[in-house]
Amino acid sequence: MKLLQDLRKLASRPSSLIGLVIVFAFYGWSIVEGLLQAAGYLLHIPSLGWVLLPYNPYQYTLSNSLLPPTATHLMGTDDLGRDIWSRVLFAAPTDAMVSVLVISGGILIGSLVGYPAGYFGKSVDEVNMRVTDLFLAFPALILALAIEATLGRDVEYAIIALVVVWWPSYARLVRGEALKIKSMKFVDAALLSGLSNFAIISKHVVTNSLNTVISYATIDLGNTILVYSILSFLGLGVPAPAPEWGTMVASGLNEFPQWWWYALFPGIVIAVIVIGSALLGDGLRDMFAGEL
Amino acid sequence: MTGVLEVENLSVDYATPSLNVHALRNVSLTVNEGEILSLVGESGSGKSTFALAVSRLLPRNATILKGSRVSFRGKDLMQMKKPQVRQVRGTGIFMIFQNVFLSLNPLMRIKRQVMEAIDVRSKRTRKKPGRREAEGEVASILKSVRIGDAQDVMARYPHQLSGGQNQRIMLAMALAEKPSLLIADEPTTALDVTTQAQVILLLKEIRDEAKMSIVYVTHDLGVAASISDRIAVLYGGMVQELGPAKQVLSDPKHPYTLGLIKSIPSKAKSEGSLDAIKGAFSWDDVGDACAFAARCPLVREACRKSIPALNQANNTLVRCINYGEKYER
Amino acid sequence: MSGNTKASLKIENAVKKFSIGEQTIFSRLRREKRRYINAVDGVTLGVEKGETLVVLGESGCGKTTLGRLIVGLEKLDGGRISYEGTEVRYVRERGAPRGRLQMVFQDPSSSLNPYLSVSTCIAEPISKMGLSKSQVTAKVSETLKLVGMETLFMARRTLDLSGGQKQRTAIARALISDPAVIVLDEPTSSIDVSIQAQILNLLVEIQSLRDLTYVLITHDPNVARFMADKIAVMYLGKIVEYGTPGDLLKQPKHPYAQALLASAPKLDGSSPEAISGEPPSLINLPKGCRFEPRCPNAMPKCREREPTLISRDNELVACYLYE
Repeated sequence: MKLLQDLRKLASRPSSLIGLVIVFAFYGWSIVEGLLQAAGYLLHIPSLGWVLLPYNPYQYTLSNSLLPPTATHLMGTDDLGRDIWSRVLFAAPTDAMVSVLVISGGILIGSLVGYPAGYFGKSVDEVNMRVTDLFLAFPALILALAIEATLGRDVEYAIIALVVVWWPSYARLVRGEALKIKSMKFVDAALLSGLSNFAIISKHVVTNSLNTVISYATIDLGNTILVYSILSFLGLGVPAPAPEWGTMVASGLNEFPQWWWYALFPGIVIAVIVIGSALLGDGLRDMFAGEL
Repeated sequence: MTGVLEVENLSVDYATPSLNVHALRNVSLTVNEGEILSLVGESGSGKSTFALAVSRLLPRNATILKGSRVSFRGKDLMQMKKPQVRQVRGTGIFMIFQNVFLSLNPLMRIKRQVMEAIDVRSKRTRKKPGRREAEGEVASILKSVRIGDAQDVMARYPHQLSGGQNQRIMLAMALAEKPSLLIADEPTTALDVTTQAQVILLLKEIRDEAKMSIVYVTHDLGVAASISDRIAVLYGGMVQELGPAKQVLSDPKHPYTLGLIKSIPSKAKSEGSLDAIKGAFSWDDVGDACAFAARCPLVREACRKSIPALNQANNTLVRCINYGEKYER
Repeated sequence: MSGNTKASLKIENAVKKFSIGEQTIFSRLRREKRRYINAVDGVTLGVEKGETLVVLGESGCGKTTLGRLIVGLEKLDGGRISYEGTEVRYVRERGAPRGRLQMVFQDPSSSLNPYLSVSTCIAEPISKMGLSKSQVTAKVSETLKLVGMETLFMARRTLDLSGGQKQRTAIARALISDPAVIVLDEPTSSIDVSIQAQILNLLVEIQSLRDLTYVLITHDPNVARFMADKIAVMYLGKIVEYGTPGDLLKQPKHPYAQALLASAPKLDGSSPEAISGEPPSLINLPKGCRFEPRCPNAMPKCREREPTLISRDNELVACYLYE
């Protein structure tokens, strides 16, 4: 009931409505397609993965290579004659999964570091935040590259690398929230009730910081997808011939600018999702602030 | 004689996700030159909305309804476009709000803001003080609102100071600018009683010197008592009682005013419990009946049927059928 | 000593220091001496069981800190606070379950977690006592009735309540663990005037029902007049006058108490009298009497040494005018 009210509030503003639609469409599709792909893998029926797609994403017909966008091939075909739109759709669940896992991991580790830092202050704060600063000091991409170079090139390692890069900003975020919240009198009241510090943090500090974390994380979803696409652009994502947005942009650049659609369309899809998540996150923040 | 500020039928609605809130309904007031008029009310009274509406600083979801008229020295403020409102401040309206950042610029140091106020005043009075003279004036004004360490404070930004200090700085700017109309929304709530007393005296002094009119919005009857010439009591977005301060305080006519005065403790607990007004304000009460009916000890059937009009009783206006049966709705 | 041997709540020479300025790695390396202010500087008071002591003063005088020391939210730097012989323990030290001393805070919007239900907030003090769910619910509903709220509020989020309802919830939370002493820090300053009277009446009613001892902190002499059995006027960390409302409010002895009462706005329309001088600062305390810089009756000896509390006409005053 409250969820419906919130959705209506978000829908009242055009920008957040757009964001809502984009994000829901992206993740909704990814869940459905992702389940199909997983089922296909487990049951050894790979074709389940493209049951809903216009074309088999792996199917190549060299005579069809580099066709421009038409009604039959909405985004044209690539150098091997594969339908780009189908490949874009097929690759979506990977990015969705990466974004969710990276953000979850970031929030988890960030919380373990940041909440105690903000709440306890003093030496806990100093130690935790200096460690955080250490990780923040590394340029994100370089750190991710280094990790993957050590571990290996595939989606799992990319996720690990990204989590390592991502958690410090959440540590900072929740530390700020904890600092704000610990001076609220309901924390004092909880202390007077004899609650342990852990209980206070989970019952009071975390609950009051959820809104901020959720809005921030929503905007961040787009960012993770962008950075992951950069990683796969550099060849560190899912290996070929599996479709990957970043990889597709990379290959497409070889055919640029004459066969412009190959590099452009996956890029546009990435951009749309980043913008969509930013709009939704913005809308969430304003909704929590009561401005909608 | 036209008043410095003339408000006629001011009605303001706020649009919220669930419903339309009628924050102010048909409020008409006049403030004369050199007069201090207090708007007394609690949450839901609409007093802050009044101050914001007159200053054209209402939030985006607020609508001033048709038929509302606000004029300052004959100029219709409702017709003015935003840039002209800045001119209005130049011609002499100054606002002090509870929300510090409606009055103070967060990006400017205190010294510069107070200097700006002096500047605005000098443009109006055509008497421009020299730079050193102006700086000296800043320091002495800050001292007069009891800001210790004026030199230090002058170099700071508003967010570096406490709420009480910021309130005093806004008052200082008002003192520097010497506007012809000061609209102050709870200007002394964050201050100590002793500082508040000083500020009240200062405001009265400028009023005497410069014939400044003040619309003083407050919930504190005691403060209203010590500063006002006239008092307007608001409840549920409407004026319930309006009259000379001494009259309203010594002989309150509206049951709400009477209830407010009686609920200020003036005895010891051993002498019995306080005469509290029962219940609490609720937006459900704002409709086509007397807003105070749900809590009124003198309520009658007629009170729930329509809104009483403002009737004259001696030299006070009262919105209560106990003082004449005329209705607005 | 203000108070007597019959006192249940004993505050003996309480001192609380706060450091000023930040302590960074660099200042520690340079071994910079930390500067302190004594927010509470040697306060001695006693409160009898069932009595209400009002601590009257303006912001910065240390009254809130004193209140927090009494319930244990701050750690004493000197002196002793005890209730019926047992010393009050600092909240962050592990030990026996708390609940004898409770507090009601000034702003109910920040003293209640906005996302929790009324029932969860109220039940917090007894949440660690191993009671069953139904026992807790019974106690919550009983306490809600005691503060004049209907049980339908139990499931509501505190965010959705009015100011008066929030404060009643906060009071219910303070009552549920059957405390002996409740410290009330400006309990009516953040709510509407017309509701204040209701809350004050409620507090008096509950006090006699449960034989509670109150320490009520306020800057409002009217509230003090109504609620107090005894009043202690506080200035810059020290008690400057102590007596009954009848004596103190009608004929205050200490110049600060006189100034405080004279500057309070009154309904008769008279202008409040203002005292001159800067607002006080704890950082540069004078050597002698703390009020001397602003005192209209200042004498040379006031600047040399701080006056101590002496007994005069049934009151205690710290002023050389009465020696």
